[in-house]
Formats: sequence, structure tokens, C-alpha cells
Amino acid sequence: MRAHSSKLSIIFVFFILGCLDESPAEGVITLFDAMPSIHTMDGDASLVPPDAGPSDLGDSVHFDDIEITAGRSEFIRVNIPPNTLSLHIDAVGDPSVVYAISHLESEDGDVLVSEMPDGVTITNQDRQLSPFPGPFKSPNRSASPNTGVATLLAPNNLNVNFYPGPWLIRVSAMGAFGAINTTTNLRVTYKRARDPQINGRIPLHFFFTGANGWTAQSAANDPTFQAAVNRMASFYAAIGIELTSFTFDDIPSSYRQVDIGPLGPGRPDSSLHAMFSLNTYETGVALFFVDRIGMGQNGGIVGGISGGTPGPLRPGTVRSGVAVATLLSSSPGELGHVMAHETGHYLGLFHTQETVGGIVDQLNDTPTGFFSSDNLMFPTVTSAPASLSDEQAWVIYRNPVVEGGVDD
Amino acid sequence: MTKLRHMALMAIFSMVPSISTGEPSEELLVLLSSIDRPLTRLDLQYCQAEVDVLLSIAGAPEHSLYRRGRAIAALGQLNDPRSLSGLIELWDKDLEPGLEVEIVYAINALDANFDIWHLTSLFESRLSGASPPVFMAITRILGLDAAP
Repeated sequence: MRAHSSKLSIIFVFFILGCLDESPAEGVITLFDAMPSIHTMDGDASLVPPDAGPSDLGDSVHFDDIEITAGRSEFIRVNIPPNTLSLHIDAVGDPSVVYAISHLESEDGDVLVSEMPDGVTITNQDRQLSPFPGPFKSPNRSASPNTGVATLLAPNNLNVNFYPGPWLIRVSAMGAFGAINTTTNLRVTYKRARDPQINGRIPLHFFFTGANGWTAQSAANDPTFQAAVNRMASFYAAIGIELTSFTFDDIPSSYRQVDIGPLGPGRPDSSLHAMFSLNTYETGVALFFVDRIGMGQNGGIVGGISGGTPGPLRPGTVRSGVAVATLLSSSPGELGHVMAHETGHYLGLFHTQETVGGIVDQLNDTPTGFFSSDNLMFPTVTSAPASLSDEQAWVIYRNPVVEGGVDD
Repeated sequence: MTKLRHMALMAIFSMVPSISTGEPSEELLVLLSSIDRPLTRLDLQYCQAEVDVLLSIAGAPEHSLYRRGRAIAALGQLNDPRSLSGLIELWDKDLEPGLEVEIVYAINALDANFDIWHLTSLFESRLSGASPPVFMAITRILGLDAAP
């Protein structure tokens, strides 16, 4: 399979969105004005990431084979150029090792991520939440301590100082028995712009297992699929972002029921992660449609899941995508909501509020409480109207996945 | 409500002993509708999830399909032997394939309590006429598939 983009446009029919639940096939929805690119993929997934070549997502620097000794790398120094809005870091390594971006500090002493953030007490409950609770509770939350890949978007809220100049990055790693000696390949991508970006594009790449009866051939003309993508697109259109350059791929039907777990360092990788590694596109976000996303031995299911918060920029990793389960979503309104929500994670957004534990995001204008489900990043499945806040849009525009804007 | 105040209230509420009312708590309903939060036993206990409450949600069409499916999955997580008869009773009704699939996985999650032959026999008896997703779930669990 080879990456291919074709410029396609969406015609939004917003008036339809209010009645998606009852009559998804009603009305005229023109989603694709030309046949999308379609590919068929056979064979097993490879867990070996392909060569990550130069990207057009922004300026990037690569650091290969960084040594991690007793769980920590040395500080890696990057010089952030002028007009940099943000940086996106991903560290890729052994799929059985949990990695985290555990430190980010300017040489002027502004600490955005730390294992021991100033003024923060790390409790036992925090340690249960994450093997790297300090980065999670840092001013610029670093919350993707994942097997195989760690990621960070900075800044990811308006309360931290981020500016050009020299910065220091550290990667940490944990194996089955704690701190570990290993290596990682680090990529730091700068998003540069002279002015704040107020419009942009996100290429989407759809992968089909046959779930919901959708295939690369049929989906573009399927009213339910169209309505779901329209619902997803409406959230991003409202903040000036067009979903575009769709590609359609079939993947083996054995991925219709995938498992996330078992989780944790030293564990074998999951079928979900094998599926994510099938994404070979260098741009945008890959969405995989499956029947069910199980939690393996941990039990339970989820409606969708993102490869990270944010997701990695490079394809072919065990985190290079978003998965959406279709079997229990009864309407395109719900499906479109889950697609948009998980893509929000991939772009760097956290839940406005966690279901349990009182954890909230680090933004100032997002609602909290159990009755604040009118925000896209409130963590429940719904087909009711919802939106993104101004600060959430600010974060999304800092992700290099969002193309276009002032520096084109 | 400010975030600080909200967090303080959550901290206070978390210290209040839970009292079962037979009705689902607001927290449980939100948890069961959660898009991407795993169903852990700890969370379910915090939200006062009990077998009868979960079975009631699972069988109630007024709840969304997704919430009903998560309620069934939660029963598997609680691993209470009382769930088995309720799950089988539910399976005998005319259900959407998605709910049937969750029953299969939930019963499998309870399997520590049952003889493996009993479990295999139960699943095999349901293979005939099963919808494709249910067939796939059973064959995955019984190791009859070539799943990745």
C-alpha cells in the first residue's frame, strides 16, 4: 500500500445533523465529490515501523538510538527556531517497554514537564494512575506513557511559557521489572508560523475491517458513513478546520474484534496495536473501524481509542491511529461523535473531566461537572450537540497534523 | 463551577460511604457511557455498581445500546457468580448482535468460576444461527479462529 492523497471536499449539510439519530439516510448528503483513493491490504501487520522519512508536517529533527540507562536518557538539547508555535515529540522504541517524555525544560529554567513538578505532591493514587505520575501532573501534561511510543505536544495549554531557544528533553522507560536499559528513536517536530493559525486542513485515512458492512469500496456511498463523517467534520469546521484528502483502505477482517490489553510493560503487544501499525500514511489521522474494542484480560470494552494524546506523527507505529467500534453505536450521530472525540485526543486534547477521580483538563474555558456533556471532549458517547472551546482550538492548531494556515 | 471547587467537592464526595439504593448512581451512568475509559473493578465499586443494577440497565431499551453493552461488560468485570444466570436469561431474549457479543465476552470473563467444559458447551450450543459478530466472538474465545 502506498500513501496517496486526493483533494476532495466536504459539503456540510448542517441542518441534517439535528436529526441524525432518527433518520440517518434522509436528506441529500454529498460528502465526496470524486471517488476516493482505495487500497486493499492483505497479510499480517508488521510491528516494525517503516523508515520514518522527512515529513512535510513541519521542521523536524531526529535523534536515533538514544541510550536509556536505568530508566532515563541523558538530556537531549534542541534549539527551537524563531516563529515556532509548538513542538511535537515522539519517541519510538521496543513495543514491550513503556516510554514517557518525562522532562521538558528551557535553558532559562521554565519547566513544562518534570518527574517531580514544583508544588505538586505525588500520591499513591497518582502512582496507580500512571507509572509516570509526575509528567502527568506537570504544567504541560505529559500523559502518554505508552508501550512502544511516547508522545508530547507543547504547549498544550495557555498557562505555560513556551518560546524559541534551547530546550532540554528527557525520555524515560520502564520494563516489566521497573527502570530499564533500552534505546529509543526521538523525533522533534516544530510547528512554525508568523501569525496564529485560524484555518487549516486535516487529511483523514479510513481503514475498514468490514465492520458495519463498510468497505473501502462501499463506504464513500454509504449514507450512514457519510452522516458519521459529516457529524465529525462539523466539530472541526466550527473551528475553521476542513477534513480532507480522504483515502480508503481495506484491512483483514480478523481485526474486526481487537483487544487493547493486556496493558503494562513487559507484556506482549495487542491486536489493536498491530492494527495501528498498518497505517503507512505520512500525513493526517488514520481512523480504523472495527466491531469491538476489548480490553483483553482487563475486561470491558471502549467505544473508541486514540493511539495517544497526542498521537505520534509518524506512521507504522503501534500507536499510529484511532480506532472506533461500531457494533454498539446505534446512530451515525454517536459514531461521528466518537470519531471526532478520539481524533481530538490524537490532536492533543484531554478529557474536560474524567468520569471518576475528579481529574480535569488544564484549559481555562472548558466546562466541568457531570452535566457538561456539550463539549466534544466530555468523555461520553452521545449524538447530542457538542462543540470545542476556543482554547481547545488553540491546542489543536498547535499540532503539526493540522496543515495549512499562515505559513503555507 | 470552578475547576478547583469541583475537584474539592469530588475529594469530599469520595470520602462519603456509598449507600446502595438499587438505582444507578449518576457516576455509574456516566461511566457506562464513557467513550474510552476502561471498566475497572475499582471504578465500578466507586460508582456503586451492583449486579442487579447492571442487569437492569443491560435489559432496558430506554438506555442507549452503548450503555447497555458496557453494563454487560461491567458484569464480567465484577466477576460475581450471580451474574451468570442473569446473563443467560438476557441472552435468551431477542437482542442486538452487539449486546450478544458482550454477553459472550462477559460470561468468558466469569469463567474462573466455571468448569471449562461447561463454558465450551454453553458457547457451542449458541453457535448455530449466531450472527457473524457473535460467531466471531465465540470462535475467538474458543480458539477456533485465526485472529491476530
